[in-house]
Amino acid sequence: MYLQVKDVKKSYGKDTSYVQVLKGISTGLERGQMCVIQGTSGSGKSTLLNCIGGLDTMDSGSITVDGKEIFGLKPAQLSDYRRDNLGFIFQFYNLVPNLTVRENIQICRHIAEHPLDMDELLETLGLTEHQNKFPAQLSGGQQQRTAIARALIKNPKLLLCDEPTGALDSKTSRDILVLLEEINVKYGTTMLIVTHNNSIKNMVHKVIIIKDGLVKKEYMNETRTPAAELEDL
Amino acid sequence: MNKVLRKRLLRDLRANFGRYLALFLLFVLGLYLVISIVGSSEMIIQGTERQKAVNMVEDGQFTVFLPLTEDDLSSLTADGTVIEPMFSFDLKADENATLRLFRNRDRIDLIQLDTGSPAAKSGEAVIEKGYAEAHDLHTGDTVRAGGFDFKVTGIGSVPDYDMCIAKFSDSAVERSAFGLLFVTGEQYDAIRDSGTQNAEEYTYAYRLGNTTDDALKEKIREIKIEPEQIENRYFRETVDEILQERRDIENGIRDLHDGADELADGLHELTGHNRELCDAADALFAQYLAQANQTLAAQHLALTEENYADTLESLIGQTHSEELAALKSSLDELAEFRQGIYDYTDGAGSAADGSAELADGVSELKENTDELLDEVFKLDIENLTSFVAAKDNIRIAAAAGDVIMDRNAGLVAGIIILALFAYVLSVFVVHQIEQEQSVIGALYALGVKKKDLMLHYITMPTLIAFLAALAGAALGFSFGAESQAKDSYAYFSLPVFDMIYPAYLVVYALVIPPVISAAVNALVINKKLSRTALSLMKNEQSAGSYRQFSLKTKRFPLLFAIRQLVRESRSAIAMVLGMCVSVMVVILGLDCYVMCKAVRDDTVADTKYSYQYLYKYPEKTVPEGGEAAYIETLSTDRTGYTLDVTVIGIDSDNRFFDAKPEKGKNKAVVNSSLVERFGFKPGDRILLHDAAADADDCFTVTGISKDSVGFTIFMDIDSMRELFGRDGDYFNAVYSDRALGIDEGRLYSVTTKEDVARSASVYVKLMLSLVKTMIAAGTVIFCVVMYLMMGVIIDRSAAGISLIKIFGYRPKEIRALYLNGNLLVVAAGALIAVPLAKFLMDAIYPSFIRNVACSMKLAFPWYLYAVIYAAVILVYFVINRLLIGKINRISPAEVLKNRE
Repeated sequence: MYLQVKDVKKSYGKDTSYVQVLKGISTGLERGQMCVIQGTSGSGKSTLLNCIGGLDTMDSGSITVDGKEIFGLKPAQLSDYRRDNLGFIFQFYNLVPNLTVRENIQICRHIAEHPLDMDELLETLGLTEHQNKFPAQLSGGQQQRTAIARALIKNPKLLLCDEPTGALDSKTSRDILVLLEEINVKYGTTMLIVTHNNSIKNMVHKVIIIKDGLVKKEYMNETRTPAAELEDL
Repeated sequence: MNKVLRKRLLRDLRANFGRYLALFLLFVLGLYLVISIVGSSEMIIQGTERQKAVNMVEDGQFTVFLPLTEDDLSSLTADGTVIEPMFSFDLKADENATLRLFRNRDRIDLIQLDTGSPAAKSGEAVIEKGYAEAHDLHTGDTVRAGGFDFKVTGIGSVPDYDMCIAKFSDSAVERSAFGLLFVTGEQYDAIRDSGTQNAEEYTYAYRLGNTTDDALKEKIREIKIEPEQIENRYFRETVDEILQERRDIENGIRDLHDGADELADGLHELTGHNRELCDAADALFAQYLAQANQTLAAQHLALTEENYADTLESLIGQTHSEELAALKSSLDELAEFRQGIYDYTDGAGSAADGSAELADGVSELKENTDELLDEVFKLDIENLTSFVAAKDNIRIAAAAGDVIMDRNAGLVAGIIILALFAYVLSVFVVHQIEQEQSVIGALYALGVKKKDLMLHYITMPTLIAFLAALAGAALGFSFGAESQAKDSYAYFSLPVFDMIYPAYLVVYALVIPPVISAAVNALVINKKLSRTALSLMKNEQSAGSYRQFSLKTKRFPLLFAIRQLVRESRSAIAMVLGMCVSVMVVILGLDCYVMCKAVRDDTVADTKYSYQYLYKYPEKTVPEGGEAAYIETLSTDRTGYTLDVTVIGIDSDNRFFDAKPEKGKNKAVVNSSLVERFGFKPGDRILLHDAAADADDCFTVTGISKDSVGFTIFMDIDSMRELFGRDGDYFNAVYSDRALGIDEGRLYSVTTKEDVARSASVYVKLMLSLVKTMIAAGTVIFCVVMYLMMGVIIDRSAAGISLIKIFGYRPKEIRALYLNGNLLVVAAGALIAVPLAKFLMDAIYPSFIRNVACSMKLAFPWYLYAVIYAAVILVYFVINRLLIGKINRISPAEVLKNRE
């Protein structure tokens, strides 16, 4: 299993403000799979994503990515882990406002050992004509494409997407999801997508539903609906 | 709403306590410095003014050859003018120091005692405080001077020696070398009468009644002294020399007169017998003719005076008689003799007439010469030797004059520094607004008005500025001003002034900082708060926010650093401004040091002589081994202050000066100090005032001397003598490379090279604390501003840093992206700021030393620029190092939290 999560627990605060967000989650994902994590607000899905991404530490449990345990890694080791394995896509894009599209993508290209071809990627994502624009000059969809390009440029093995369509309209959301689907096929990138959107679960290989810090349900889609055909986005 | 916002202020303060504390302390430091400098200046200026009434400060003083008589004094004081003798003489004390002895004072320039009591009996003395401090003397101690012991009963100061220098021409105070001593009248007289001391100075101080300085001066000038009244041996010698010259001329004329009379008398006597002599000659000729007629009677010839020559010639032709020839020859000789007598008597008569005329002429000459001598050798000697009104007396209120520029510079510098600090503060406010713009948008949407938010956001900086102003002013007034005044107390001889709180300074201290802060912040944040609610809520970044320029570099870190630099241009500007201001403060300190050191070193290097003898009573002959010079002191007011300019007349082959002055009454070589301060060059004209003659002298600059001691111009000594109406051999100074043993009573002063070196060192010692303060203050300002600005850059970049941490950037790479851009700013900024600050400070600096006649070498050696630059870079790296922790503390999840 490419991604293995075992009995992960995570809590915040002390005494009266103590909250256990993850209460012992266990799940896994094979290489090249697309997976959706669903759950209500506060269910712990983003916390789980952050723990997998090495952005947050867990109290106990184990997370292995490509056989490498990340629990207990020091910040510098976590940094290297993210650098070598992960790509991130966020709901609000998190582009650097004073850098152009191309320069935003260069942020990740700069630290990649084997980056993808910049121009090809821009072409793939339909950003060639926008590459010298600043984020403020782009639409939401274009900004998210830029964020995806930035995440993909270093050709990550695991792509973590936190509500990637949360700030987009239906049509743009579909475009983005189609794009992710194509990337998954083209580069074989494993993807973990946190979303509220109920339709997205139909396009991925695996669905994990979290409730109150525990995996309530997880299953593999027997048949997947292509992103272009998703409804109610 | 405002109440809610106010609550938020406290939370904001808690959240950013460190930053606000640093800004608060920065403001406090700025205000402390300004209030210290301006407060101490005001304390001295106003204190001096107040003490005028308390100490009955003179309106002026004058010195005379001989003490005024009771009649003179009555005449001078008839209009209500008060005059008090301030007689003095100098006593040699230990360590080659000089103590000037005065009587206790009654009505003018009263002694202000810091401790103890006035001298009440013989053997007691009050000592001037500067000398007492320099020699660690206290009341009860004994000081020995002039062979006498004095028990110190009091330590204090007098207003007429505020700048306690021995001579007006002294450029610096030397507390350890010169001081004052005040004793009872009886003891003063006893020491004077002991005869062991040098010449007594007869100086009087006056406070004007119903008259003016000029009118009083004229009245004093009318007081003459008789040569016989002169007791001083050397003065008497001088007068005698003048009188001897007159006597020599008078005797010569008299001899001439007498000779002419004698001649006239003799010739008159001689011509009295002319008739008899002619008659005798006639008789002799007639008798010889008669005798010839007897001899020639046989031939019936009658020879006469008229025909004898023709008759005898005819006979001799006929007879060829030798006897007749002899007769004729004898008669010719007699006729010639008689004619000779006639000619002689005529000549003698003319000579007698001429000598009579000569005698008349010589008499007339004698009368005229006597009149001329009366005019030329006027021995109605003016008793007045010098007259100095208080406003022209550099010893009086010198400290107050010295700090006027400090006060003005402090007030202006304060505004600049406060504006800089306010701008630094505004950077934080802008950052805060940018962070909170979605909240601001929401508040606008809920009906909150812009002015309320404007008020809210400028409240904190205004409050900080106000509280800092309070603290800074309190510290400045309570400690700083007193501390700052120590420099003045350490140099000038001042009473201890009470701290004062000028209304304008209190207003300046408490109102200007918050007003500047509010104004600068309002100006800066106004645009930020002027966006629409929706734009703010959506956290929109205007496309125009970032400069539309493309970067060709393929080096991503460089590209990123440049973008970051442009984004953080506000902070970068604040950083560079802070650097500029702080480097200016540092350079002010260094300028002070460099200039004082140059004055010291150059003065020593340019002083080629070992001894300088200034004559009070000049000699006629230059002592062997000495080099004669003629010195006059003129003045210039080019800086707004009256500054002495020494005019030295020298021979062109003078060994002790490099100047080669041309002949000419209006030609002069200027020294390098005048060139540095006023930019003189050959061909320029320099106008100097001759206070003694109340006239202006204009000189054409013919050359520049390397000499840098004070303000000096050099003239050809003969031309100078001619200009000032002196004899062709006059000199009043002698330079030498060895001691010449000139009688001290003849001298005004003896200055050795060591004296000059010691005097020149005073500036360095005096300014050292100011130099240290400036360098420390500049460094602190620079460090704090740089730390805050680099810190705010990191704060503003927290999301970006967090983001790239997520992507897996390592700490070194993050620093390269987010901090190394600052290195560009600092490195480039320092390259501009250091020379710019130096240029600006050098331009301003002359205004700080307007009242000092000295050279102004402000040039830094190249390595000093390198040291400043290196220090700036070093500070950057230290701060960079300190901020690494701040970067490390930014969590990768930060960006997610903020977005959620």
